[in-house]
Amino acid sequence: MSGPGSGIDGPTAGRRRATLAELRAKLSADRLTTPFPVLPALAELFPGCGLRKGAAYTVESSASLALAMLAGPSRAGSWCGVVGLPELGLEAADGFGVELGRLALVPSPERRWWETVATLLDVLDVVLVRPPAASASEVAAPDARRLAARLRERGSTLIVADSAAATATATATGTARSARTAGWPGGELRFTVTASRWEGLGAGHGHLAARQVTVEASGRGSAGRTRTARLWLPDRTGQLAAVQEHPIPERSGQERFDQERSDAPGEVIELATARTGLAPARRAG
Amino acid sequence: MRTLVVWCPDWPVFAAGWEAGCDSDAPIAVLDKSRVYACSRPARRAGVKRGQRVREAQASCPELITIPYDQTVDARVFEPVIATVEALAPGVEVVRPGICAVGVRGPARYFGGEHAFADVLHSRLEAGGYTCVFGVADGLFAAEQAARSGLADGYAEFPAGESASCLAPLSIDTLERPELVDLLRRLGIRTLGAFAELPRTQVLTRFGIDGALAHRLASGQQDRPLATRRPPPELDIAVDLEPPVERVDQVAFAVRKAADQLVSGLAERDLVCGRLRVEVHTEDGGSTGRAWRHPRWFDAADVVDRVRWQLQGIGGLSPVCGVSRVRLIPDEVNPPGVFAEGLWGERAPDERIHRGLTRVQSMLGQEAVLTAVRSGGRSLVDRITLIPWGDERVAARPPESEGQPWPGQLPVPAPSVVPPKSTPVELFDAARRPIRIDERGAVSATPAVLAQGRTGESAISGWAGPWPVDERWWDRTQARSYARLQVGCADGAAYVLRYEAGRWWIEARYE
Repeated sequence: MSGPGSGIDGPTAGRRRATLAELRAKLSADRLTTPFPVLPALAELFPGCGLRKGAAYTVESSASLALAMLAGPSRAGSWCGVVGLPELGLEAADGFGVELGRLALVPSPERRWWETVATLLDVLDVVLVRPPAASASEVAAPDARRLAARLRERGSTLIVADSAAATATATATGTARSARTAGWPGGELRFTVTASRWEGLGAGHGHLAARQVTVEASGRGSAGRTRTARLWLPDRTGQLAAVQEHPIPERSGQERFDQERSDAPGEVIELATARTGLAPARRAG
Repeated sequence: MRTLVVWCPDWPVFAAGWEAGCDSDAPIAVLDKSRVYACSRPARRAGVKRGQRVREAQASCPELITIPYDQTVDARVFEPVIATVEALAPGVEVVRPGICAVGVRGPARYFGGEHAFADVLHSRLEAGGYTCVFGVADGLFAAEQAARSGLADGYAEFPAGESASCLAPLSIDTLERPELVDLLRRLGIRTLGAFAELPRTQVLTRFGIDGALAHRLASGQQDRPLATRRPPPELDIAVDLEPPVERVDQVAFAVRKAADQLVSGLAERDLVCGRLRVEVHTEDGGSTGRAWRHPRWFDAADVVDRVRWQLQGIGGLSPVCGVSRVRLIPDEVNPPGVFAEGLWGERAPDERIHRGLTRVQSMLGQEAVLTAVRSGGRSLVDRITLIPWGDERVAARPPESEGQPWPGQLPVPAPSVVPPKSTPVELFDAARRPIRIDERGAVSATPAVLAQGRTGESAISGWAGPWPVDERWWDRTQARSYARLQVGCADGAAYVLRYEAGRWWIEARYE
């Protein structure tokens, strides 16, 4: 726009800025754009700190991560659904915090996958699915677009549980478009577990107690940046937790005692030595 | 007021045996909280007594048929008896399932005497298959005692005005007030007659109002007029299919109008149905019935769906016999306001969600949409019970409660992938010898390599176990004995392995 008041400091620009700020405030208050809450440890992986309504996410080869993503909305009161995953461990789901009373399961939709998922997206908030094809990237784009339109209309979220073996064979035989677009077509983010280490097993003793993983989130929703997070998936109580980067080091008992003594007020020590007549104690540390 | 009491002896046993389809002379015991609540005469002759534990009863009578006690079955099977009596004489009081009472003055005039009336009733009830004993006296309590005394003949009568003298020799236990009876026994009063001789005012001051009431009963005075019931409105609807229909969808179509009628009939009375019973009668005379629960209440489409699922669930109809009659019986009706809270203590699911899920059920079948409930067990499959949507969420075995964990369960955290069918694998030690677990539960060597058929081999970096499980060893059909091992592989994968019958299986994966 050209004109006398259209410069960056002119009155029109000021009015424009004010209108923009007002619209932005209205948008952020709009119910449809507040994302579904996720567990606090996962929040940093999402640009909007939650599952965006109307978006599709892909989780590669980690059932625990998919369950942990369901736990946030489920705890907040949403109804969730699972389609096509008969082997999902529901006790683990309960451990992560998914409310079993608000979970609907359709283990085998057989030949009516698209209708089932569409019907469930109409009524449920978050639906976890296994893709109807061998891998998520092989799903036909027009079908995915129709589902995406329904997702946006209803404000629900789709989580696709892909399997690593499928993606590996797909890229090996060249059927996937490229590594960058692997995952559900039009998907917002793709989550992969890049490193995992179990703790607690010995040689014939102990038990699997906790697992430390590194989770990577990449895709068009993260604006080109790949976010990573180190998590306990699960931790010793079966829940998801963030790995403390700088844990407070454990001090020995002697060190703590000396620290406490050196913090004590000076007069007390002087009084004690005056009474007993001994030489004042050397302060440690 | 002259009262006739119809008493069916051992009613819980009769009702349970009737419902289960047992022979009338089979030894049956009805159990309540794992003790014998009632037993039939053949069982009593074999030595089974009320209050015994199940094991003792089974020890005295090995062919004993045990049935759990269900009050709704009692009430339901007694309904036809009440209906038969009501057809002849209005104003029936149901004391409890098994005993009902009716005023006899009018029917006696009509049938020509109390005994004649009792005969008519007897023939009608006998035709229905019920054994009854009748007692006539002034007042409900006296008539009940008359019926009990007439067990041998089937009819007993205390003449009008002579209730007091007829009741006098009876034992004081018939009052059914254990504390009062205990006290009176210690005072030396053992018969109703002795109790009736005590002065009334002193009984009132010494034993209170309840004692005074018992005193009135023992003296043969009536306590209250009969609390008659109004016959409940006929809410059931039956659809007769002539000629008998064999295809499920045709039956469902025929039932649609009846379902509409049922729901609107209930709505006119400001009621909704939360539990429905569907009875299907086939051509060859057999009938099957099933109760269906609904998270909110049934509307016409839901009723038709349930009929269809029940027919499909019977295993499909055999081509020889078709369905001749379908009966829809609303078991539980309430005014709609009751459902504001939610049926099972949690918030009832949204109407919208329920409709969406039932739409998927009608597409794929009732068992296709499930919900999970935690239950108790040792194997990973047992720890979750999957229930079709719309049915009541009840665990197969009770889950762990405070301080009562299930022994033998795997430690937290639970695995995230539990395949319904376990895949076979092989476990080798460093020298490629297969690993075995001996009878003492010890592993034959340190596991080193896990070989899965298609995905190749992986080296084992850590393992724990073996943890043996021995379930139901006393039941040859259901006994299971296996051992579990947790292994972690070098590539970061972790599994729960099961050793059963000499082979290794993957029970679960931690993904």
